[in-house]
This record gives sequence, C-alpha cells and structure tokens, in this order.
Amino acid sequence: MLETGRGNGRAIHETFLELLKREFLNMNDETFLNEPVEVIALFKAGHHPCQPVRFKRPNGKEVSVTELGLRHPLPNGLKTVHAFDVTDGGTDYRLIFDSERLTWRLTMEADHYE
Amino acid sequence: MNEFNQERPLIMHIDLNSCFATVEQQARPMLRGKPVAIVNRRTDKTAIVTASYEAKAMGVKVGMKLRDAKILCPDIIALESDPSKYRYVYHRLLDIMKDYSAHVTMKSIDEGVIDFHDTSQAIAGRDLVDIGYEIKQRLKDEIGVWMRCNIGISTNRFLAKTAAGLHKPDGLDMITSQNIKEVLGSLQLTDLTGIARRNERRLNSVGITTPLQFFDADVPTLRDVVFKSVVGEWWYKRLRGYEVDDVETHIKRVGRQYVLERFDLTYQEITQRLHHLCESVGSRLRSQQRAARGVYVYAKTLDREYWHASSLSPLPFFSDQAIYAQALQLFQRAPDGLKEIGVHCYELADFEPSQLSLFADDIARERHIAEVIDTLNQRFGERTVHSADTLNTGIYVHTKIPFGSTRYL
Repeated sequence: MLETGRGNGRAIHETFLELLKREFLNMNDETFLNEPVEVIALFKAGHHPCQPVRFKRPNGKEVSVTELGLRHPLPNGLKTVHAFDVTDGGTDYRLIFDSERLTWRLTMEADHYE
Repeated sequence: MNEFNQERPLIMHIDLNSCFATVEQQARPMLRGKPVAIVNRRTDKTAIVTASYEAKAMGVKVGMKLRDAKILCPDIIALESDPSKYRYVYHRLLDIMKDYSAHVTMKSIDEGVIDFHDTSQAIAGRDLVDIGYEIKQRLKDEIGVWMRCNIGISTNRFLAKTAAGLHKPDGLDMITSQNIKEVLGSLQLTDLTGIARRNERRLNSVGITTPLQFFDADVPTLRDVVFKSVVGEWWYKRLRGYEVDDVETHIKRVGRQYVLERFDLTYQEITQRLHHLCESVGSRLRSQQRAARGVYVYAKTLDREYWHASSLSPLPFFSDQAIYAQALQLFQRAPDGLKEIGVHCYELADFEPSQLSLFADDIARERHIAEVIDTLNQRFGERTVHSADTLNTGIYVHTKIPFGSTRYL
C-alpha cells in the first residue's frame, strides 16, 4: 500500500513535537526559522558569484553581512535552492535563495555559542 | 626488489582532515577556534562522527560518546551533520583535483588520490610540491578561507597517504627513498594504514615491533610466517614504494543501519524503522542499477550481543516490498532489548533480467512500479512516495552521510 508522505496531519504534528523536543530538551543552540527577508546581494564574477550584503527581517531588524561562510546548493527534487551561511560578526545565519521564485528566506539563526 | 622504488613520486593523496567539523566552521564563522563535534543525532548517547582540531586537542576522539566528550571538553558544541554541505565540498574538491589529472580516485567523502602518471605535459613538467600548495590555496579561494587539507606525495598510494598524515593539520610532505627510513622511524606500527591491533599482534609474534623492523623484514618472513599469504609480499612492495593498491573495488553489498532513538520501542515500531531502512536500501540498490539475491538482517542488543540472520533467493529481487518481506521474516527471530538494527542486500546482480521467467509479467509490473516511485522521488524530493507503514519514521531515520563510500554522493 502506497501513500504520499505529504499533507498528513499526524505526521506534521509529530514532526512539530520532535522539533520542540530538540529545541528545548537537547539545548539546541540553533533557532530554526522560516522568515521572508529582503536582501541586498552582490552578483559578480569569480568563485562566489552571489554574496548577500545586507538583509532586513520582518521585525524591521537590519543585518549587515560581514562574511559569507559557505554557499551550497540544496536539491529539492528537480528544484534547487541555494543555502547561504553568513555572519554579521556576532551571529551566524542561514539564508535560502529560491532561484526559481527569486525569493529569500531566513531559516536559521545561531548566536549563543559562548 | 629490495630497493626502494626510484621513480619520480607521482601519487598525491589529499585529505580534508576533520572534514565535517572544518566545513561547519567554514560555514559558520562564529564556530571557528571553538571545539566542535559533529553527531548524527544530538543526544548524549550519540557517537561523535567528526571532531574539530580544537576538540581533538582537548582529548575528544571520533567514535567517543558525546556524553564522555562533554566531560573532557564541557564547552564542546555539538552539531547535527548536514550532508548537503559536505556533498558540495566533496564535489568542489573533486573538481579541483580533476583539473590536474584524469586519474582521480576519491577514497571517501574527505580524501582522494591524484595519479599524475599520463597527465598533460604542462602539468607533468611542474613540481608536485608547488601543485600541492596551489591546491591548498584553491581550496581557500574556491570554498572558503577556513578550509585546510593535508597533502602527501610519494610513489604509491600507501606512502602518499602516510605522508599526508605526518603533519596535521594543513601539512604537505613527500616520502622518497631519501627519507623513508626517517619517516618510518617516527611512526608506530598502528600508524600505518592497514595495521590495526590484529596485524600488529601478528608482526609482534615474530619480533617486529616498529615500522623500521617491518621495512627490514624479508619476503619469506612476511609471506610465509606473518601474513601466511600473498598479503605479506604486498606489504613488502608497499613499504618500498611500489603500487599494489591501485585496484578497482566493486559493490558487494548495499545496506543501512540505525541506532534506535529510544530503547523502549514496541516490536511494531521497530519493524517500521526496519521497513524504512529497507526502502532506503532498495532505492540505493536501484540507483546503482543492481538487484540482489540475499538479505542480511542484524541487531545489537543493550547487553552488547550481536544477532544476525540471512536468506538467499534463487532469483534476484529489487523492490522495497521484496526486501522488506524477507527482512521481516528474518527479523521475527530477533532478540528483545534492541539498540541498533541494520539490513544489507548482498549477492548483487544486474538490474536487467538476464533470462526469461515464467513470472516475467509480474516482475515487469513490479519493476515498472519501482521505477515510477524512484522517478517521483527524484523529481519531488526523497521519500515523497513511500509505504504507509513508514509514514512516521522519517523524522527519526535521517539520511546520513556515508563516510567510507562515495558511490551515493
């Protein structure tokens, strides 16, 4: 018997509980988000052809990127999105660029390593 | 052949040491200079897959439980592995290596070998040490400034790998006839790749306790007394810089294992996870255009006992259902109190049916369904379509990065 793995309420509920458990019980130092963000990015020639420079979060906070740590593609079926791991010198962030829709999302923030 | 190989050293071994931790530190600048451990699941009982150099300096070792590592290094930062990052770095490293020779072999996700025999005139005329430093710089330029690698150069794969391990991290060494004895004099027997405790005991039994004594041993001693096979002759050649390890490996089995997330799971919950593993194994098997005739199921108990069972069929099979049906039947005899389960397919054969069968229509139908599911999963993402039985297992059984194999990268 086959069934698609999407859109099942119970599975989503269990996934949410698992994420909560990871977040609080195991003292995860990353916060996983899914925020649409406005990004100023530099497109240029070279080994790193796209570099986010600055982004604005829905709460109005603006972040200046001081370093692009790593950019790597994330395949999602036939579609590819690009993960940009960046920092502002105090916090690490992950931005996801959907090259098909031309949208950016902030999906991770990690700032309490100390 | 008691002389060291006098040909020009043309084998380069490149090793991204502490690869996953280094990649995480590259991706997240705030982690640099801090002790980092990469784990597959962030629980205290999980084993460390990779530790950063800062963590290793505090005594943390690969394979150690995170709980024990925290005693040695309370500030250790544990991160769950992120396979897509490592896969990307692996492909970038491979691209760089292929710029220098058509003969590149990746030994695992974090190490590979460039064979400079039969390369272009322009490359062949260059000093390999210069090329080594160029590759180090390209890693930094093309991936990121935190990336480091160890490079070893010699006349064969074994000594090139040995050279790469001499000065970690970020070393570059060459082993030639001039310095082989000096290098071996600085090592222990178990520092040599392929010499673990059992082989060390074999060598010790004839009075060989150092790599230099190993080097000075003659062929009859190694072949007839120590290893009792042609392996002894291979070691004699290997230590003298002659190539014996340039062999193509073939897939003999495809498998997956899983350490249970809790040890109080019901039998049904465990078999659901077994089913998930079978789907994963089936997908990997078909991605290699292979079918299998055998299924091997194993389990480890909380009492550290190892249980296994296997079955061999006359005809090859390839579907998830066929693998799971056999695995489940075998698993009925599994003991209680399980900690880890695993399933392997073996006796691999070509996916293409080689002869006519009475059940050709059934096989064709099963094959068509499997192909359609694989296509859907490739198009829309892993596990878009799977059995209803494994609907709730995906949040626990993640795809992890295989360390020893590059065939699924």
